Amino acid sequence: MVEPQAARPGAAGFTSHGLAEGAILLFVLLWWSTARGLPAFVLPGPWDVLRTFGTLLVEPSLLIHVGVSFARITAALVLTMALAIGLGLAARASDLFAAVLEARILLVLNSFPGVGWAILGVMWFGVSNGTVIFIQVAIVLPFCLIAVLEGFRQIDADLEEMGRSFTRRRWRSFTRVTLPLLAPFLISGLRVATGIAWKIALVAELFGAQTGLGYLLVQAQSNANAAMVFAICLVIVVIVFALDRLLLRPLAQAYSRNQGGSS
Amino acid sequence: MPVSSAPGEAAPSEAAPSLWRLMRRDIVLHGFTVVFVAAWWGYAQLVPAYLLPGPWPVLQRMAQFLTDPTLTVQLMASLGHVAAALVLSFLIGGTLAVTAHAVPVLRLLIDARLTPFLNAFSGIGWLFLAILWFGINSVTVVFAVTLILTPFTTINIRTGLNELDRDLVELGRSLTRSRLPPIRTLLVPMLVPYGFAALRTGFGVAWKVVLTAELFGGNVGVGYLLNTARQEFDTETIFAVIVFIILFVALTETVLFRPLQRRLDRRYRHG
Repeated sequence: MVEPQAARPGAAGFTSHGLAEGAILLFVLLWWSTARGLPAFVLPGPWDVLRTFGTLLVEPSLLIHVGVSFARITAALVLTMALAIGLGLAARASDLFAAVLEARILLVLNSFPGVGWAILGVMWFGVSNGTVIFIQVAIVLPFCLIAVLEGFRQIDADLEEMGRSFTRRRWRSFTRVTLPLLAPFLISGLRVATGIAWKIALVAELFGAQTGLGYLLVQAQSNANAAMVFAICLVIVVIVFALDRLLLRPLAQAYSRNQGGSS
Repeated sequence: MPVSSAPGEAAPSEAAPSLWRLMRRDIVLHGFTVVFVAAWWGYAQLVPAYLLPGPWPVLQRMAQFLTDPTLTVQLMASLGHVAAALVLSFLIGGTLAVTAHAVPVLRLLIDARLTPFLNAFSGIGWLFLAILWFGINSVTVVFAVTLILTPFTTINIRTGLNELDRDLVELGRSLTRSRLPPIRTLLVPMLVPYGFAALRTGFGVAWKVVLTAELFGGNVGVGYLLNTARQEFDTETIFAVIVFIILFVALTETVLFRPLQRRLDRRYRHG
């Protein structure tokens, strides 16, 4: 990831800020003027979209869909992380399982098309919350697994040995030494997974679900309600942005500082 | 294996166990595959065929596909979509990355506004917008996949440019009279590994999303094929298509990309 470079103080920073905000303003103006000449089902104006965005967040019958998607994705992410850590631990305990995991399971999971999971999931389990979560877990798992396996590979074996020499209890050594060492990788995995879940795994809700943002999207599209499609996109951008800035990035920074002190 | 006994005699404590371990890994890997297919077969006996066809009917359908040009045509169409989207996203991402690198005033706009926005935008969202704008056709598919790929390529190329060693470029400049940094001997070799890594991730992501895009917004391609099979409850075709995709993606990764990456790394990073 390219972290934004700190704008230099003084005139140069001022100019680049002006250019950045100016370009956004110009873009919105351009959008507004283009939308005026086009029918609303092709390109709704910025104001229409903002108003729909507002109702999406205020109207309870619409807000519930945002909440349902949020709950499903959170459940799927928690399950996926637990599954990835479990598989990673098993691979660490046995190098034969590690071989199977990397050369078979991960290879197949990584090449498995997401829509394939969606079609099979709906066929096997019908349309339900469980199915949606199953599909999301299946799509996000390879990304988490790669991060967790990489983390286990990078953990300093000597530090872990030292942890084991302090206590005989394996659980204690796991929670006090292994998990904190693993934390930066878990968080970077979670960051990637959150993005994928909101941007791509939402496909799980497009196949027949009766609630969720995916369902709203299908509805909006069949009603040619372009403002709603735009507003849903905006909601997702805001959620992904907020999760990353308010939760995941601070977490990543806190843990990388921890890590820096110990090594 | 005739080899296994010879080193076993020469160094019984070291070579023999390690060779055994090497064999053991292969045995376990192939054993896992066999057990998996057997479990699939066994479970397929218990449930109706429209839920889970056995390995044998799926294999037959795959063979049928190979002789019948339908799948080849659809696969080519999907490959065309992926290739077009990759080229376009490299053009857009490359332009953005190089602009941010070369024009510091625009860096804030590109790095802190545009890329994060594109990165946070939902792929499904692009797809539905494209359907609204272009209808159900290949333009929609290529548009959606391109916009999903663009943040990845921008970030990858941007990282490559950031890693360009300034000192090395300076040194290169001091060794020649020309004022521009020597492009062919210095810049290209330093950027090639990053460009390739960008291509590799891009290809993986593109395959993942192109099927979704074709299923909802396309009128050709493997995703479209999947959709018709889904509507006809033709589970065998669905499985055959999924197995083909897995084989295709896994093979390009292991046979083409991984060795190529290793070669490029050797040649350009440490050569």
